[in-house]
Parts: sequence; C-alpha cells; structure tokens
Amino acid sequence: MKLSKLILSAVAAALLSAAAGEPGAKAAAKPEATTLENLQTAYGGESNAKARYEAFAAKAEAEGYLGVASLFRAAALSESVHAARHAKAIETMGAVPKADVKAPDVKSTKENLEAALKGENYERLKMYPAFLKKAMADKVQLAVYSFKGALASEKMHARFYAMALKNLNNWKARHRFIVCQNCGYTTDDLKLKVCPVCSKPRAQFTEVW
Amino acid sequence: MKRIILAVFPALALTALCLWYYDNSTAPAGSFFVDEAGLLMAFGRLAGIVGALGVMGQLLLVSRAGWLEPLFGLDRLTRLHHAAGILIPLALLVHPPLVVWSHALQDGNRFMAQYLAVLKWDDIPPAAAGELLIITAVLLSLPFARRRLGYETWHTVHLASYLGLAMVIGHQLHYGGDLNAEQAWFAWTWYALLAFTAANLLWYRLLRQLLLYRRHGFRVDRTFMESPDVMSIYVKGTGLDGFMAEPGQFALLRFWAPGLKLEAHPFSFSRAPDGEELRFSVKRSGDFTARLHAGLKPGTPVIIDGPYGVFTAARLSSGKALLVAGGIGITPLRAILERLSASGTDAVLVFSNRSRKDMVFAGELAELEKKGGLRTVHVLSEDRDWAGEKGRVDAAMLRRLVPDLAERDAFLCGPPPMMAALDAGLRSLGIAGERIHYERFSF
Repeated sequence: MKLSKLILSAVAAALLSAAAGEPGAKAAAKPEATTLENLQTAYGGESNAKARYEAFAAKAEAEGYLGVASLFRAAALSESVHAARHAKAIETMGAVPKADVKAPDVKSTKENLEAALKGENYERLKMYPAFLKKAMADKVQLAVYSFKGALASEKMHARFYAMALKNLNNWKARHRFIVCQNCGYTTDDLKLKVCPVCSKPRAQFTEVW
Repeated sequence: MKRIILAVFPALALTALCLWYYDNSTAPAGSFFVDEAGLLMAFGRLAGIVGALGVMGQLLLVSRAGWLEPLFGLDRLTRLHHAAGILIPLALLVHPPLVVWSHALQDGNRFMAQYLAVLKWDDIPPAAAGELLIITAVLLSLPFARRRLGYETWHTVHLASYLGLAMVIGHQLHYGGDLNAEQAWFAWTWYALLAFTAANLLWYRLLRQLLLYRRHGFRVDRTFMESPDVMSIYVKGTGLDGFMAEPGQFALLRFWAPGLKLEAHPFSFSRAPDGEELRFSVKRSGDFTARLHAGLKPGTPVIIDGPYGVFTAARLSSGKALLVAGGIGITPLRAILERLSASGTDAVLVFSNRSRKDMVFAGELAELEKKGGLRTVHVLSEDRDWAGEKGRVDAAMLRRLVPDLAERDAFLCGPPPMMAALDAGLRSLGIAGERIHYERFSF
C-alpha cells in the first residue's frame, strides 16, 4: 500500500504539480494559516452561506423570482454539503468544527444576487485556490478533495448568479437544479449521469425545484 | 475497401482514448492527473475502457468478417484471439478496485466499506455479474482449463460471455463518465463502437449463413466411407455454381438434425466445388464426429458458414509445390491438388498415414497422377508389410524424397506436432518462412 501510494504521488507530482494553482492563489489572504485553520474558515464560510442563501431564497420567492429562489435553494444545499465535508476533514484531523453563523443581511433579490456573486467570486478566485494549494502541499488528502469539490461548485454558483443578474425577468419561472450530495456540485444539466467532480452516480444527486 | 473498414475500429478506439484523456484532464475541479485519487480514477476508467475495447476487439477477431478474415485467415485471427484474451481479464480486474480506491480516498472511507457501498449503486450489480461472466469465459478458455473441458462446455461458457457483455453495456453508457459526462456527442463514439461490433457479429456470425441457406438450400445428398474412420459428406443445393470457394478453404457446418444442430464445426472442402455438389470429408475423432458418422442421413439440411481460409493454391509463389499431409490433413490438400493439376503445376505429395486402411482418396490421387504433374509418395508409420516409404515424415526424409525441395513452396496439413516439426525442419533446410504454408485450427 505504501509503495503504491508513493508511486501514485510521484506520478501525480511529475504530471502536473503546478496545475492546482489558480490565478488567485497568490493573493491568498492568510498564507501563514494551517490547513486545519483553513478548513475551519471554510466551514464557517459555508455554514453562513447556507443560512444566507436560504434567507435569499425566501426573499426571491416573495418577490416572484421563483427561478432565483430555486437557485438559492440549490446553492444552500450545496453549501451544506461543503460544510459537512469540511467538518469531516476537521474531525479526521482531531479537531471540532466551529462556525459562528450570523443573521443574514437580506435586501432585494437583485442586491442579494450581487452580494452572493461577490462572495462566490472571492471563494472561487482567492480563498479556495489558496486553501487547496496549501492542503496539497501539506498532503491533507481529505481537505484537498473537500476544497476541490467546493471550488468546482462555487464556480457553477457564480455562473448561475451572473446569468440571473443579466436578465432577472427571465428567472420568474421555477428552474430545476441538481446538487451532488457528495461534493456539492450544482448544475441544471438534468441529463448528467455522473458527477464530473467526484464521479458519483446520478442517484446521489438531489433535485431542487 | 477492406482496408478502409479495417481502420474503423482502431480509429474509433483511439477516439475513445483521446476522449478519456480530454475528460480526465479538464474536469471542473481541475485535472485528474494531479493527485492520487484523480490518478486512480483516471486509470481505473482507462482500465475499464481498455477492457471493454478488448472485448469488442476479440469479438471482431472471431466475427469471421469478410473485411478481416481474407486478409489474415481465420486460424491466425483465432490464435491472436487466444493470445489477446489474457489481457482482457487483467484490465477488467483492475478497473473496479482502482475506481473504488479513488472514491475511498476522496471520501475518507475504508476500501472495503467503499467497495460494498459502490456495489449498491444503480447498475453496478449487473455490471459486476457481467464482468464475472466475461472473466470466467476467458479463464476457462486458457490452455490449462481448455484441455480439461469438452467442446460443448467450452462453447456454452463462451456463449455466456455474450450475456456478460450485454450486462455491462448499461454500465458503460451510464457510468462511462469519459464518454458521456459533459459532451453528449462523446457517447456517440461508444455507440459507434458497439454498433460496429454488433453489426459485424450479427451479419457474419448469423445472418449471412442463414441467407446462404435460403439461397442454396444445402442438404446432405449422400455419404461415403473413404476408410473405416473417414466419411465423405456430399452436399447438394440450388444454384451451387454461385457458391464460390477456393480449393483449400473450409466452412463451418451445422447439420440441422437432432443431436447435431447445436454445434457448428469447421471442415475443409475435400474437392474443389464444381457447381454441382460440395464434398467434405470427416474423420471420426471425437464426440461430435462420432455422432455425425453414426446418425447423419441424406436429406439433412446443412447450414454452411463460409468459405473461410487463406490456405489456398493462390499462396504458391514459386512454380513448384511440395504438399505434406498427415492423416485427415489430406482434405484441403486434395482440393488444392486438383487446382495445381489443372494449371499443370509440378507438385509432389507426401502423404503420411499409420496403415493402408487409413489411406483415403488413393484412387483419386492416382487419377490426378495420371493427368501428369503430380507425384504421390505414401508413407506409412505402422504397417510392417508396406513396401513403400515407412516411418515418420521429417525433414531428412523430405530432402531424400524431394531433392529439389528448396525450389518449392511447401503446403503442410496434419497434426499440430507434425506441422511444427516440419515447419522447423524445412526452415533448417533453407526454405524461407513465407514459402511454408499451413493452417492450424484450435477453436
């Protein structure tokens, strides 16, 4: 087992050791933070994002943007998956996951979308690439896969928020999303058969409507 | 045209492998080739793809396809099928553990716990059962097992591998992430591979022979005992002048009678087809041929799949031929001699048997000799009263009997050990490998 892991590590490093770095990685806020600290930060962020998106969904529902409400509900579910994965990684490292969940600041649906997009952009361009790089350097595998899943999901969330902001009136009808219960990957491609991030089957996706 | 079709499967297989690389290097969370779990997943998938491509390739090798068989000969394709067979279980065996290992690493689970969890996913149980069937079929076809199994058992197990293949197709299309993940058209490569394989099997292994039967209505006309152990079967039908076969070729015959119709066996044409009737000569040498000798009746319908084989007079590259037959190996050579005689080719036949009662076609060979061009030397290994050549045919005997050996093409047909020894012996006498022709059957 050890030899095979060594070989796999060597092959991985030889193939593309630099590929994990995203453009925003250099701008990481806390280069000195440990992977455990990064996991706690991410856990807190995801827990807050879940609460915030649930509140945003209720607001969108009330304003008649039912498609946006579907999107926020799907994103909230996705963030809860990320929080759970981060928590598992924290516990595996012998610590207890901690999150300070604040009351969400709910405004109009348009403003909520802008705030959500800003948050996702920070996470996908700066926070997660830096966390991922650090976790890979520290060889904390569970953190690596947890951050990878979150990074891929936040990209999708940001894409959908940007689409909604571009033409909000098109998002008054309900929209169907599916969310991977293993890694949180979110998409509206209902024909998807396998999660492109974690390779779990479609049966492990939850449909959000 | 045949060579163009020959490129279809490799081109589609290469496309599938390119799509595998593309999909695994452009995943939403980054390339799979950068960490342990990703590498395990990527190469686990590759093993699955290679295993599936291998199974399809194997089926094509034995499909008797008209664009493939004439280029290489069914015996060579079958030998390649045997040799390549061992690689498929290896690929299929490593596919599940690599993928499961990747999931276990990603999710922080124990390997066995992950394995059991994966077994509960949608179409994994039928795929696992199908894979087991394919691997079992291959393992039971390996020489050590094959020697202990009867033809019927081997054949049934081999047929079960088709069921195994059908059971894993759903898995390939459903979980085959590299082929259907984000780009729907990726899957078309796999559909094309499956369709190409299925179409070839369906046409060449099933429909073509049924069409031939419908066109010619082959039936056993009569049988004739050439020796106590060899029976010639004369087959007639309508429009046989349109049934083309080269002397030296063979066909797979299925006699539609109780106790016989479940098996198709290869038999050489023992006379060049003349447009009136076909003749096959069968030695009693096993269960099936014993049943054939005992129970075949005139009027029995015959489904003929063929002709096949590249062991024909067309292989003659020099002006002269040496033909060496061992026992029932005379059948294709008897047909080839007819062609050589018609073209006035200088030919020497060395025909080896145990005793005089085993010699078949002696009268026909004498008739061909009278026409000129052919010299026949009968060699008997166990007949003390025989005044002619005695002993086993070997290179030294051939050099003595045929002094101009080096100027001839050699056509060999007989028991495999005899052919192997003669092949080596003739090469040692300076005959180039490309001038030594033979065909070996081992289904």
